[in-house]
Order: sequence, then structure tokens, then C-alpha cells
Amino acid sequence: MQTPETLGQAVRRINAAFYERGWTDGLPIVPPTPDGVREMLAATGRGGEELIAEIPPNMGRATVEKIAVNALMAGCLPDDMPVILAAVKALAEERVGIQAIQGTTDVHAPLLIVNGPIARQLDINSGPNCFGQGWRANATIGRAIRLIMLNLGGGAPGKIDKSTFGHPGKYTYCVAENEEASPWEPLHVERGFQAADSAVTIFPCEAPHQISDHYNRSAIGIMRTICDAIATVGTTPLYRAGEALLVISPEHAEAFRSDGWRKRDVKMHVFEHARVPVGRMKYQGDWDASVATFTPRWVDLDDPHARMPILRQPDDLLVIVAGARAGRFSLFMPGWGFPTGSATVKIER
Amino acid sequence: MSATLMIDGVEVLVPIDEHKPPEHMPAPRLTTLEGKVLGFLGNTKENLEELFDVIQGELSHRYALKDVIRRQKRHYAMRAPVALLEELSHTCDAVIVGVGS
Repeated sequence: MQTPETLGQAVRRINAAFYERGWTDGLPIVPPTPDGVREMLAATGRGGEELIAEIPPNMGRATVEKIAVNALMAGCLPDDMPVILAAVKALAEERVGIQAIQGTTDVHAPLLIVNGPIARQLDINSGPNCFGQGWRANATIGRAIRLIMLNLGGGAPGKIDKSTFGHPGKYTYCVAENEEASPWEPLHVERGFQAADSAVTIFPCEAPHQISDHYNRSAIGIMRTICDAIATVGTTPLYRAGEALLVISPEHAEAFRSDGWRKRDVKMHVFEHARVPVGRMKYQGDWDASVATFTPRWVDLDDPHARMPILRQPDDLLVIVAGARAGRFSLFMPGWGFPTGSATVKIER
Repeated sequence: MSATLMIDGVEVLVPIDEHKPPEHMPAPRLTTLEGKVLGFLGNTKENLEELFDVIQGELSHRYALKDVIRRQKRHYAMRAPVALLEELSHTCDAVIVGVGS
């Protein structure tokens, strides 16, 4: 029988062994003992050998059991498993393009956005510090996906994963949408699910960039600030097209509610106004021969005054509300560009 | 059930896919390119086609190639379609695959 001393020693040695084998993210893991994995499996009601997806680029088989092993290592609880299974399914969808994300020199990491009743049931934070630390569910569910990408997909940093910098979301990157504070339909409803459904969206994106506007009280004023902040030469979608995410704080969202703005109005405004003159984007940033491939026919690359939209179409902008009730900020997270994007999958309980 | 390890008397499950992927044996090497069909598969990134031009020129100078087939993926971040890979494997005696940047 183990004493507390030998138990502690065993945990430390298991952690050392897993780290040496490249099976961790550098942080301590929960040892995936058979009894613990059985508990995780029991919460799914599925067989351990059921295949959910193969994870690029190594195409490791993400069976329910392997997902449970990695989820337990991450510190997840059995009740988290339905979210993780759905997230793995979304991760492997072709439109997400995870093979590009796993091997890129860019910083991008898959963000999980959870919608529906399960967010509250599991206490997935959508409010204060929601992209930061402190909430077990956010920390561990996001981490489970990262361990799965590493251990089943092969995305080891410095090896397959060639990211120049990485970003902190490569430890964990998981939030819930603050549906109560939003004047609009939640992201999953926008994508065709019922409000009573729970769903998870996977979107590979950069770390949050804060856009501060404490001056404007009108929606149009806040949008001017947002568009000015994101219409820059360094913004990835400018050259590579693709999706981006705008996270609007509850304080900013109130202005949109007061001024009667729909989510569609936000998307159209960004599409129309977040643009960069061709003369400014040419021969700098990510300018190369492929830019023409992603240029709308109505933008003349020979006209320096023509304006390239950051987003090639309004629906390339994902919009959610999240964050604390105090703070007049919004966040912008560009995606990696074509052919990657977001995918939303229903969470089955 | 996943493979397990015993560490300090504690049994733990292995988080990786321990099933070995099928062995991929390289195709038999050609002894010459004389009279052969040479393929090139590029990833669409910058400078690669120019590099392929140089390689094709040099090899065409050294060997009487029967034909040269140049193909590109649609995008560097996308896998080459199966149909493209099958075309190259059926029509070429050798294929040079390149990654530009």
C-alpha cells in the first residue's frame, strides 16, 4: 500500500517519464491510471474503441479511450468528456485545416467557444478573465485538446510544430460565450443549432488583441475604433483571406443593443470599413504573388487607392460577446487564412 | 485497451497512438533517368517553380528525358488530392516533391 511519500514520489516520476517522452505540454499531468480513464469513459456512454477522428498530421487515432487518457492527463473531469469529444470532431473537420495549424510557423492555436446550457453546467467561464486563468473547466478542456493535438496528431513544438513564437493559448484556449450579456443570437444558433442545444466551435486564431474604447457611447463610434485597430498591414487576413473573430465586451455590447445594431450590421460594417489601401499593403507585410489569388475581382491591385477589405466577405467575421460587465474593450483574433476556418459541432450528452 | 506502462508501481495508460503505421517502403530507385518520365510536385510557395526550372534544366541537359510533368497542389496548406498523387504515380517514373518558401 502506498504511503503519501511514495504516492508523491510516484506522481513525480510519472510526470518525469511522460515529459521525457514528449507527452506533455511542460506542465504537470494527472497520471492516467486505468481506474481514472474508466471513469472518464463511463461518462460518455461509449465504447473505448469508438473512433472519433484521426488527428493530422500523424493521423493518430483519437478513439474515445485515447481522448479520455489525454483529457484525464489535462485534469478534466468525467462530465467534461462530451465537450471534448465534440471538440475533437470539430478539430478534424476539413474546413478547420488543422494540418496547417499543426505545422505552421505562425502563432495560431485552436480556440474552443462553447455555447448552450452545458457551459453553465460545467462552469465554463464566459465572464471576468474568461481568456485567463482561474476556471478549472476552461483550463482543462482547452488543455485536453492541446494534448490530443500533441500526442495523437504529433504536433510537437520544434518538430512538426514549427511556430516561431507560439502563444499562451497553446497551453489552453477555451471560453464560453456570454449569452446573457449578448444582444444577439449566440454563435451556435447563428450556425443553425437550437438555443437549447449545446455546441462547441473550433477556430484556429491568434492570441487576443485588445481594442480599447472608453470614449464612444455609440455603436458606430465603437465600430470606428474597432475598424481602425484591425485595418493594418500586419493583419493576417489582409493578405491570406479567411476568418477572424471579434469578441465584444458586455459594456460595448450595450451600445449595440441601445442603438439597435444586429450582428449582421457589425459584420457589414467591418467588411465595408476595415480596409487597407493597396498602395500601403503592396511590397510589405505578407505581400507575394499569391495575394492576387485572394483578391476580390472588384479590387484593382494596380490602383494604389483601391482598398482591400480585411475580410473578403462579411460572414468571414465571427462575432461573440464575452467578458466581464466592467471594461470597455473588445478583442480581435485573426485566423490563419485560407484554407483554414471554424467548425461548430453539437455536444451530445 | 491502450498500452500501459508501469512507473514506480503505478500502471498508467499511454496517451499516444501506439499502433505502428504501415511501413512505407520507398519505391525501387532508378539507375538512370534516360528515357524516363520525370514529375515535379510543388506546394505553390514562392521560388519553388523557379527552383524546379533549374533542376529540370539541369536534368534535361544530363539525360534524354522522355517527358516532364509539372504539377502543383492547390494550396500549400492542403493535402495533395488523391487523384493528383495517383496521376503522378501512374504516369511518372520518378517524382521530385518540393516545399518552397
